[in-house]
Amino acid sequence: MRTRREGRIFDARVHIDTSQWKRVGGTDAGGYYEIEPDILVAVPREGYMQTEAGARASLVEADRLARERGRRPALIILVDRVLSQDARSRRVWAVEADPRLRCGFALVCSSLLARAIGSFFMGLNKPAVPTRMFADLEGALAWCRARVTDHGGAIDP
Amino acid sequence: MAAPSTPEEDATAGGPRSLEEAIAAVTEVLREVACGRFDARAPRSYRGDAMDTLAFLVNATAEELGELVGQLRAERDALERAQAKLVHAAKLAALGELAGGVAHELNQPLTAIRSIVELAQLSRAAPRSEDLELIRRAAMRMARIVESVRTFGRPSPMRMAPSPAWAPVEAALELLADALRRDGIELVTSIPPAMPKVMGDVDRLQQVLVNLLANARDALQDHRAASPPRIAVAIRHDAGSIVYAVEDNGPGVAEEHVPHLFEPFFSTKEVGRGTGLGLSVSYGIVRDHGGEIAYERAEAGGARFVVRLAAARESEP
Repeated sequence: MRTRREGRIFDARVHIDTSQWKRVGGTDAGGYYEIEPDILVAVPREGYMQTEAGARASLVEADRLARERGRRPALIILVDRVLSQDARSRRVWAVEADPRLRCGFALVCSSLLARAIGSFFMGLNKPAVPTRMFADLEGALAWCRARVTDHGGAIDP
Repeated sequence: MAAPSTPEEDATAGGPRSLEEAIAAVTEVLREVACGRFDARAPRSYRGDAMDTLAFLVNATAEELGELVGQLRAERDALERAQAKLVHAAKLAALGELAGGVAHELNQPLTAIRSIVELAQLSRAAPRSEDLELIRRAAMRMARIVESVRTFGRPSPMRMAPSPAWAPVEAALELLADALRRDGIELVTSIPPAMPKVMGDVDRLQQVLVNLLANARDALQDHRAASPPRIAVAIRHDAGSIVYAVEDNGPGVAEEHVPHLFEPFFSTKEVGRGTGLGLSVSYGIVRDHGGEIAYERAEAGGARFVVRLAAARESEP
């Protein structure tokens, strides 16, 4: 599906069915959904381009969700919908994401561009939170379940 | 009212129209990066295809390299400044040793001169008393210089103890407040009522404050400004440190003199006024406290000296 907006063309690379997931929060960048207990999914809006301010807003929202529950979730991020991420936003995730509030980041990158974006995310400024890249949601979910079992639980006071 | 633009709306439309254009754009970015220019970017189509991904990779690489080079440059500059400080401190330490040795050697003949002159003044057969008095005063002045040099080169052991932060300022003003008033210099103090104690030798710190206040007074006496002469002394607590600031509304220090301010015998005053050791002695005292002293140009153009010392820990009485 291609949408035209003011002469620019965006491809909707991934259609995501969130109807079975519970929406628990979100920002201008997209929504946070609970897919299983202690496993959240970040679903960016189509054609999202992340900058420093957007990254920080998303992280603040993720922190709020963790504190609200008092638990350290694993977060799956569907990168295929992201068209770009700049260096400063990568630094936000690398430096400001508190590993005490989450047990892992799982990047779902099935497209060429998403894998390139994910590689930079995990490269020079790798987050302190354990992060892995997966080609599909199923792989990400399996890893997140293991992370929650071994490293999840209540947030330390 | 138009809605605020999103990053997507700000993105340039189009991107390369052919493989050749795409390769040329990527090549141009890499060439710019090779020349040390990290803000070049290849246009993107945002289609997520291979050429768009290549453009993203090249752009992100250029961006990250630019950030890294910027960080490295900043750290290199900080290292160079730290190195210059170390070299300067080493020079002062060497000068101090030398000066201390010379001062010790001069002390004895000076003492002899003063004794002879004072004896001669008591004698009725003495030459003109004005000349003797001149010699006596010169000898005393030389003795003061020698004492300053000796202190700079080989200071006596310090007595470190927690003291009220305002104690050195109070002690210094006891000595100088009257003189400042006589010179028509307005004295403004800013001392918060509740402050942690400072860890230090109050007598030595008083000496630092006296030196700074005396320098400010001298600067104002030499300078005829439109506004009334004023010296401001302020203390504040900042992240575990006690910070003293002495500021005047004089002419400030000329840029070419700033690097030499804390060197022994450096003086911008006319010959005969000052020993040129006040700031270097102060530097040594502050250094021995593990603190920092620095010069800044005040907003109004005068001189500001800032001394930063460790606050006493709460457990210390």
